[in-house]
Amino acid sequence: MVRSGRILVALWVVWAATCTWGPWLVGSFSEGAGETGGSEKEETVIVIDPGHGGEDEGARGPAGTLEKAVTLEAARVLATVLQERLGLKAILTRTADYALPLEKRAALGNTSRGALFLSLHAGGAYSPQTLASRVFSLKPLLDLPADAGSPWTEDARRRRWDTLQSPFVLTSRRLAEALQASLNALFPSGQGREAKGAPLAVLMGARMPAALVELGCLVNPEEEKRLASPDYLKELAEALAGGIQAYRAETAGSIGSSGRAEVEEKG
Amino acid sequence: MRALGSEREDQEQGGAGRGFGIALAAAVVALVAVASFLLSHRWDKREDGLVPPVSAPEAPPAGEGAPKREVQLFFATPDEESLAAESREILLSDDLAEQARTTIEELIRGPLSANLLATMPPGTALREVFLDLAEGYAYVDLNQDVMRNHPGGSQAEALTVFSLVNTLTHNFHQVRRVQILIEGREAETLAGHILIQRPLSADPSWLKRG
Repeated sequence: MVRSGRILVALWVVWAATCTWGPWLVGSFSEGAGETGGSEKEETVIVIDPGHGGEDEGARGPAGTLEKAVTLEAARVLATVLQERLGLKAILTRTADYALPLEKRAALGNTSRGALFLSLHAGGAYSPQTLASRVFSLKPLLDLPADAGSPWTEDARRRRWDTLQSPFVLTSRRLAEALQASLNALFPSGQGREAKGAPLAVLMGARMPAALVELGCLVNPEEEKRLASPDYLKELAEALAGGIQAYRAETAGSIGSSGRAEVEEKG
Repeated sequence: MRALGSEREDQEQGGAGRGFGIALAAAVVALVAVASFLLSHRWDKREDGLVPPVSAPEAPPAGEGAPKREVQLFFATPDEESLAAESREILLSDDLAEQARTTIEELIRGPLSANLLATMPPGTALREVFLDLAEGYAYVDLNQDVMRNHPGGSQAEALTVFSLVNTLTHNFHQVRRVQILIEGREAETLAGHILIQRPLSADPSWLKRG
């Protein structure tokens, strides 16, 4: 009796300690993971996410080129360009050909304390004529916690996950615009193309400015050939690096400042 | 410890209570049966392959005199940058869900104009539409081909999703959000990009400007 009493007391102490200190510990750990403030206190990490992978091949070109292979190669090239050209550290969410769930990609970026998240794709289109790169940022159009009256019930964890990107919607929009402007210079047909917003699953969990880049359109035979060439991937990577540089210069002095009115409007 | 007398009373009451209990149980069983019948008709996967007839062949007054209404269908522009409307006439059914069904079927059938592109991959078929008018939700259940035959790409996927969502919310003001289902279940995405796990609201920014 006495022994079991002691065990109970011990258990209670452990439980009480967990309740008291647990949230603080977890909080202090996750704090900072999303810090993207202007201070250069540590090395800036750019998270590059090669889209698709494993059994998820993504789009397939007429000659059989797979999107998952293009995105991985493009990510490697971009990592090198960022390191050499801008001295930025880049990490890849996927380093070989394997499947990776969408929410895991953002999670990997968050735990790496990334400053920016770029998901690379080279998807399909309805007609093979479509050319040029497109950049997207998150535009949330889903039921969020405010819609408490909705019949859609889901666990709180999932809801919180979907709102991690919310504080970054405006900065992500600026990042996407900078990347799109830089890429437009590569394509005569893409002049004036604007970045778009969409409820992109892979961006929702990112606790940092995040964008998705469709490098090109694999179903176009010409584009398929180009996307398989390392020189062309380097050209794209340099355009992306230029966009990142422009974004960083633009936001360097004004992190947290309100977005321009036009950004607000478009969002 | 209870007195013997009260125990007998209990038994007597129990007799009446048992009758009530049986009635209650019967009512519950009936309710469950009705509910499961309704649910199974609405959501069950049709494993027998008996896809419901795509254009529910009611025998409505299909003649020229039948009342019709115009709907706007949103298809992709040839540059695949945005969505543009094409009007179509559908039979004016009293049943709003029936109108929604016809509208989605027309959207799946594709544009009549050569200047627009279909946004639904080949083979896409509508399995079921269910309108929850109290909440403003439309549940649209599509077959597997919308995923399997999708060309992929964030832009093409967004055009597929918002051609459907915008078409429904534009023509049926009672519908505020659209939940896309695949073979009766929710799916994360159609091709790896746009989250369709939960009801989506329309995005007018996909409509062609000017």
